[in-house]
Amino acid sequence: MKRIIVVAGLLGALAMGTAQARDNTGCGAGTMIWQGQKGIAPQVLAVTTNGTFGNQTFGITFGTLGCTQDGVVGEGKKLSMYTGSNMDRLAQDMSVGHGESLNVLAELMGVEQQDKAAFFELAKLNFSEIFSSEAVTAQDVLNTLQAAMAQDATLSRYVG
Amino acid sequence: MYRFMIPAFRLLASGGIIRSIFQADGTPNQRNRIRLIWFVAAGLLLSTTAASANPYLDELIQRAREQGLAEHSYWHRLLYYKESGLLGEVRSEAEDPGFFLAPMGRLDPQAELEANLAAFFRVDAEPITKQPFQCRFIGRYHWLKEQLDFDPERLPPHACEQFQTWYNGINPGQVTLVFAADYVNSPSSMFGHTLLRLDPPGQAEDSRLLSYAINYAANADESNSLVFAIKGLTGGYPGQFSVMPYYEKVKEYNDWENRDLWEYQLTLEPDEIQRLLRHAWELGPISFDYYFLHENCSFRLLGLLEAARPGLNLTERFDLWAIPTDTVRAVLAEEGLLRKVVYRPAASTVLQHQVESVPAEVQELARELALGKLPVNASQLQKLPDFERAQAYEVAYAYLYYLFLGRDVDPELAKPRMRQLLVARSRVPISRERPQPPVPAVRPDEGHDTARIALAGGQFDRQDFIELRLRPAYHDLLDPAPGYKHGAQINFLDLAFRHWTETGNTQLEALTLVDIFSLSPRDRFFRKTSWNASFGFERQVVKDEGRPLVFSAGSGGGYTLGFGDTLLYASVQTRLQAGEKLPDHVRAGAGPQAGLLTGYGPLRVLLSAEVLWYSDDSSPQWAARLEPRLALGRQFALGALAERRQDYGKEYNQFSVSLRWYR
Repeated sequence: MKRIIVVAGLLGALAMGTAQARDNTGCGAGTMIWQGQKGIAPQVLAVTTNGTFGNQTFGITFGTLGCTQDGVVGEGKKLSMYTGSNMDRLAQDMSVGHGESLNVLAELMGVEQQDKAAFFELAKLNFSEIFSSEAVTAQDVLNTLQAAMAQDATLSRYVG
Repeated sequence: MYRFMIPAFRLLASGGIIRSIFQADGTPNQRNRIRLIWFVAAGLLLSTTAASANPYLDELIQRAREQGLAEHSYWHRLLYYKESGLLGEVRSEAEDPGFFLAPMGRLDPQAELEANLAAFFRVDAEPITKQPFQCRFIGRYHWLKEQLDFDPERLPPHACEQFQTWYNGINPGQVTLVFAADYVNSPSSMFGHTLLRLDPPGQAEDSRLLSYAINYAANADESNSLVFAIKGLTGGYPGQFSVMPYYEKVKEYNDWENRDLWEYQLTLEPDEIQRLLRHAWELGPISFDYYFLHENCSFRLLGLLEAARPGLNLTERFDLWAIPTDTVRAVLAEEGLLRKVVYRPAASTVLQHQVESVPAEVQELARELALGKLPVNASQLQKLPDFERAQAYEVAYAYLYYLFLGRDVDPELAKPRMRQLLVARSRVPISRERPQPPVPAVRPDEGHDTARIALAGGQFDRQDFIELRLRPAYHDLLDPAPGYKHGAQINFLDLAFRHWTETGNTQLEALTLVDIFSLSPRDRFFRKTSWNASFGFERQVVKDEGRPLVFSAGSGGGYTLGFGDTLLYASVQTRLQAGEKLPDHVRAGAGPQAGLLTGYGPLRVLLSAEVLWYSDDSSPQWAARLEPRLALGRQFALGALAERRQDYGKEYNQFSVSLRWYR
């Protein structure tokens, strides 16, 4: 009977093995494609399946860590952390000149409603420079974007 | 009728033995024990010094006793006191000694209340979180202050800068309950997940990504799935609250796990929201034992909502298990609590919609672009009108990203190609929002309740029987479809008893521990496989042995084709059976299975057949089955089964009709 239980247990393990296709530790990078921002995004990210956290995120729950305090992002870090965490979405939105994530980036940069269309268009026009390679970081993205805004009659007032 | 299931469930949920094995070297527990000792010592010191030297404290304690505050339901709520045992004594669900100030605080609401009052006078900081005690237990402090009307001269309030900075950073003006759809690939997420979102006052609907989320999750770092499942079911992981920007959760669920999100904006008032955050702050530094089924994400969120609005009674409805959709239903059942619902489709849902909304030739070009069979600037693309070229690049990118996240392409080839596709798209002179899929007609909370009670009558090999079947969760292929994912089945702890009318015998017919069936249609874009896994105890016809109860575990994999709502599948199945009455005690089998699942309005029909060749000398076992089921509204269904099968050379029929009630 003991052997039966062992065999049964093993088979159960096999069955459950197929039931969990992904590992439960995090991925440790801000976004999947682009380099993202080293040191900022990874703290928050390492999360995959709901209900389970990689140990890396333990610290952000409540307490101080890098740019968050008790889980809340510090005032001066909002833009860089958001950009670092949303590179994939931002790249996709910029390429079509539209989208929720790009709109939120505009908000964080203080772009007013009437200038958003110009901002979206500028991001799209300059896309290949803003995302100049797969190794681009959030800081590169923001630098290039802000440099382009500085050259723009409408948007230069949001830079500097 | 429900109480019937308690013993079986309790056995599994409490699982003391299993748990202690897994926690043999459990460092969190050791740490807790050390903390407990520290607290006992500190508490003793505190209670002796405080009670003698401070007349205002004595007065407050006296008034608290007179008002019976320690028996107040809100005090019990803030500290998670629940009745335990026959004599009506209470015990807190929180095991973390850092949550209590009195030595026996977990068991003694009165002593704990008095220890808190004493601590509010202290000027030194609470040792673990380094805040004044008034701030560390800020929810308790404000409630007791309200009840006892503290005199600010004699009990000076602390400023609580750390809490205030946190609160102001979140700036909550609205609470939103967020439901992440079920994710069949992980035992902790099979039934979905819930979290709370805190939206600033006056925030625009398109800026919600910047809100903060409060999430409760098990802190597990486990690579072995079986250990993960067992520890998760038996409370072997510490559960913790965390706060993070909502965009992190959207990315995780929508993009990385391809799960739809449903956002239920609630009408909680400012003072209620304040209570919710103060209580969350108290819970921040501690952990609870996390149980996948009961004291899980959804159950703990209900605790936060109950702290927010004292009139809400949510957790008491979930004394055995808390399935996320059921908890959402419980919240929405409160009159006037729902303001608005927003649907946020998963990346794969958007992709599916994008693919369907472009012409066939664009679909094909996009697929070849994504797979690298076509260069980004191929002449076929240059010939397309701008709009269709934009579509082709958009679909190609979204598809490649989907494959990339699923690890179905080489990341080093995919990354530069994804960038090229986006660059090419950015050069098409059309700016537009990518097409968004329509909101599903039925929300998850509008589907049937997840527990099911079924009463059946029928005939097995010409013998009449009556059957009672109980299943705490969740949904099978034939249950009323609205609000659930098509082609996904999870039966959990399905228990059946059969009464044979001729002999008068009643016996356990089956106990299915888990039974998952996932049918994902495969097409040119989505090369999905379908799989199933189940294990439990069932009756098996054995030559000369009647129908002994055997352990049975099966799994299979195959492909599904979809034609609208009709799914046609074929798979290879393996099964292992073990039981004393089987000729070899253990046997393994393998063979094909095929099935057709279709629906018309409230009627759903499953037609299936399988053959299994076993390792023992039984002739191939086969079965053919027809199961129609008719939904009668949301919470009832009428089912039927007609089956012909052959086991150990014996051919026989089975017929039954059943009434199913979901609740």
